[in-house]
Amino acid sequence: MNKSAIKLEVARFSTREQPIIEDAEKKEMMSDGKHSLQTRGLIVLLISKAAGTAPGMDVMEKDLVSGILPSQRSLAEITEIIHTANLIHKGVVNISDLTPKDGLLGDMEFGNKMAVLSGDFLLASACTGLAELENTQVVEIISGAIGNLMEAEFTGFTDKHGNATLPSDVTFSDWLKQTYLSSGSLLAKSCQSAMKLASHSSDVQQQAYKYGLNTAYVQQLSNELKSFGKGSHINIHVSAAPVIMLQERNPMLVREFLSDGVVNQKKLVTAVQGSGILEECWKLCEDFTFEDEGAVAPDRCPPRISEGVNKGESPDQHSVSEHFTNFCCVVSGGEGIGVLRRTSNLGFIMAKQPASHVNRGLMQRKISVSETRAQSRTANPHCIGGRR
Amino acid sequence: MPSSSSKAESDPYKLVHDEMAVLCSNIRNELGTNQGDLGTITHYYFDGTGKAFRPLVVLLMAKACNIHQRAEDFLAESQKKIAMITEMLHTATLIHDDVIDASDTRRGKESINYVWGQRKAILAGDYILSIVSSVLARIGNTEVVSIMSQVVEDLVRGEFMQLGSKEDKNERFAHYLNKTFKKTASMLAASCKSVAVLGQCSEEVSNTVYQYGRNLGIAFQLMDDLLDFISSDLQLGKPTAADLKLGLATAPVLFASQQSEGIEQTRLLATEHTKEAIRHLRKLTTSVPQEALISLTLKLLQRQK
Repeated sequence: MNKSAIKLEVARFSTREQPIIEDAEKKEMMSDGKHSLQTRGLIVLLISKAAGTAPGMDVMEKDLVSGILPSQRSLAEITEIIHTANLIHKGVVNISDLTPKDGLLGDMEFGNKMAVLSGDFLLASACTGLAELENTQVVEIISGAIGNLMEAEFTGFTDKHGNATLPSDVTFSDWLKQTYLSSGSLLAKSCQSAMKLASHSSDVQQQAYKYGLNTAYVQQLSNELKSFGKGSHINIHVSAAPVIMLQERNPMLVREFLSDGVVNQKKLVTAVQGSGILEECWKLCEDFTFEDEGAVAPDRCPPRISEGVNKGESPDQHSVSEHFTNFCCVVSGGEGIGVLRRTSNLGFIMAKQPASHVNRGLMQRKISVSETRAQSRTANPHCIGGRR
Repeated sequence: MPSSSSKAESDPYKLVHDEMAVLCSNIRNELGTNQGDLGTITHYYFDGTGKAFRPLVVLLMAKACNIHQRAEDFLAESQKKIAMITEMLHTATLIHDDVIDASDTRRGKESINYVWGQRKAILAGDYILSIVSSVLARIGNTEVVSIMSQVVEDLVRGEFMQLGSKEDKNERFAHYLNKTFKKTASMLAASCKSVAVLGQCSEEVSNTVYQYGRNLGIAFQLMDDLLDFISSDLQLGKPTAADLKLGLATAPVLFASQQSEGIEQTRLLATEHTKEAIRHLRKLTTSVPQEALISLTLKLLQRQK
């Protein structure tokens, strides 16, 4: 066994020595180049900043960095760690099903071993990190989210290898449930916990929960919709919402495209494009986005003034949309460090505006899909709420 | 040795029989009845055939602590939860270990990875860990959450240590002992300390029982490695000298590489640790559960399987 390889592995995943997220406004946000932006952590930090601390909460001004509590910062880190651990563990392969073309058996076994250990290592860091928050309710909420991530892999939406499947009786409400288990729960519960750590009322906590859940829905749905865009070269996921909706309406047709386990991508895309389902889905994105308008009420937010925007005035439409465009670039992982520097402005916008506006930024992806297509092809598919 | 008069009363299992009898069904309740494979896999090892050594120690320790602290023989719900947590955490670790060591059998049956594949085994292990964490959080004691979370970290670090060894002979043995602490003793030490904390014991008492658990854990693992080295497949219910096949250095192997009497040396070291464990345990008020723990600790050295 190669000792140095293990040491390297430990160093890479050690969060103690190298915090995954130190500050949303610094480039440390990224642990590994520009293809692994940490959306979940970022959203937790932003919602923390947007909501501020509860009125009457005893906080030393020096403890707040950019309006965020140290415990909320740790939570954002923990959320990312849990997500990463889950990605790693989902990558474990079943050795007995391997074929010679998968490579040397010994290599695959070693890969599995490393995946198990490094995922465990991250989960253990999450456990100790949660314990350090000294809030057993938060520990319980986040533990529930970890459990949900595992449940998502046993629902029938994936086969034993983790590949997507499309059960014939599946409905859109199953899609919602699956999205809740695989990404919504973690984001919703992290947002809720961030509010709890800042002593917000259960009402605000619930709103933050809903915001996180809806954001996850929009992320997942808009991500799936991208693959149906004109000229898209992304492979269609058989359990994507548009396919499920099409199957609900025309089961025979969809079965035809999926015969013998081989997906007829071209025909499936054409059928979905001609069905009006894509438009419905974009409308759904919009509904999810605005459902929680005012979720984190602006009047609870501490007033913060940023350069270029006058006190008491809403930022004008142009600058708002510009900021949101920046944000959506951040979440899509397309532009890297340059965009992140501007998140301090976004932080202000977030603090001044309902947090749900972030989703409007996501919506703008719709407009710029064709422009950024080249980028999304190279971007890490895991960086935006994907369940693959 | 325990006095002959209390021998009958201090049968370890009898003292906490009621709690031990419902242990597995309580665990299965916590894990819930998930649809599909998740329910089946997570319940698979909680079939009542395991030794449940850890919960036994924890329950007896909880009773001993409660008698020491307020002269009352009882078990708090929170203390029972700790016993349950140790068994669940131990099992989650076994599931992951079996994937890492490519074991096909466990506790006399086919291992989870053998039946359902490595991927589901790992995810099911993670699921058990998440339930452990929830149960622990619901106890509502931040100190206990912190003590027990350290165990999770130690278990993983121990697993990493198992992959490596040291060049230097002396270092190699220290490495083995350190790994043993992290993989086995840390859990026993931390869970003993947790039940003491939950029983409102003083810091001095909780540190004493921590030392008991630590020494007991090391002795337990030494004996486990010893038996693994000398016994047959059939007796232990797991592949003989599996660790040796994987090139992992355990105490008997390490001693044997230094001198010819590896087995005796290992037994001697285990004896020293049990003595130390008992020395710490005797600091508590004398009680039936305490006597039971002492006899259980001594029995460890006579373990045949």
